[in-house]
Amino acid sequence: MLRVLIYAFLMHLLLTSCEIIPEDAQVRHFVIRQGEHYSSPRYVETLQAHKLVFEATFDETAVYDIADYYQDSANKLLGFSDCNSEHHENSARFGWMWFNDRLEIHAYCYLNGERQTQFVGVAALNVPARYEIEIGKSEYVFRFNNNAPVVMPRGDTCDKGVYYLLWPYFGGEMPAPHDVHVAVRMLR
Amino acid sequence: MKAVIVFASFFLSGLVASAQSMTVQTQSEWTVAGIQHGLSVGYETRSSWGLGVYYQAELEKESEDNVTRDDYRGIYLQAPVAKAERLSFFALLRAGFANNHFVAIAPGLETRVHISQRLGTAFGMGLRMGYASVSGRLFLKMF
Repeated sequence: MLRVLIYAFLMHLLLTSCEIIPEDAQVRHFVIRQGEHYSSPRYVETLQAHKLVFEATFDETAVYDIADYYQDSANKLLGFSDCNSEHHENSARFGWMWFNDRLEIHAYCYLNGERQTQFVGVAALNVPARYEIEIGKSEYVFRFNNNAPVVMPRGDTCDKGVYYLLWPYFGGEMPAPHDVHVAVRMLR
Repeated sequence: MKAVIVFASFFLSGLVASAQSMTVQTQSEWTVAGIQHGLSVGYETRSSWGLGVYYQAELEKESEDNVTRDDYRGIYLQAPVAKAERLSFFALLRAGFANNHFVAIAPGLETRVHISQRLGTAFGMGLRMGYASVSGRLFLKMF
């Protein structure tokens, strides 16, 4: 009996001495390899709150120069598919593109299968920026740093279900012209 | 769909009919988003398979960095992995809704220490929101 109590006591000590995961360990470093669209590593996760909030940092690899036809097509940063929807049906994401010699950030949504985008702001390279998408009854509210919020309409979806997370993706049609790095820290 | 319901009915009725005890647990879970406290109630068979319901929530925001105050409710399935005299190891699968709208599944492992025939403590590790979580429990076998 004594041994068991000692074991239980030690287990409680172990639990109560656990440290919060340090911020650095919570940063996920994504890379989109040259010639590819999808980033690695791949994660399978779902949204579990009405807000998706994260910090993202781009470096110089976000600068690219491709044919004018493709230059203004949005790459995807992070977001989610809406309730039980496929992401080309109903979803909300931040998009980004190197355009006009600056890193433009956009709200990028699908609303009942129809794509809608809107300019949100400009990100600086090598500086973490805060991104937030809040789910409302019939709209998404995009917040980027201290810029004015951008409201986008939300499609007809269910209320309870799976909201799978969408991770960095290059394109559009063009794959990454070189390795592209982005660091993301999820805020909960 | 019918086949699933029939299979689930057979499984559940078998589980309840052979249930050896009903277990009540208080639990705290350290997740990447904060600490959640809660309660679970379930049936446990003679062979230590278990099925029950749980509810846990953050009681307060830990800091201003906390974006949301989460809760998590649903059903759990417990499968025995190994058993010693006073120690038992389980695989645990929780499935339910986070914040009432978002489907969330959390697998985990748990170690139980039986302090007496009815009372015990447990600690576990799981996967929540893409990161490891650690949990502690006190359980009481009611009857």
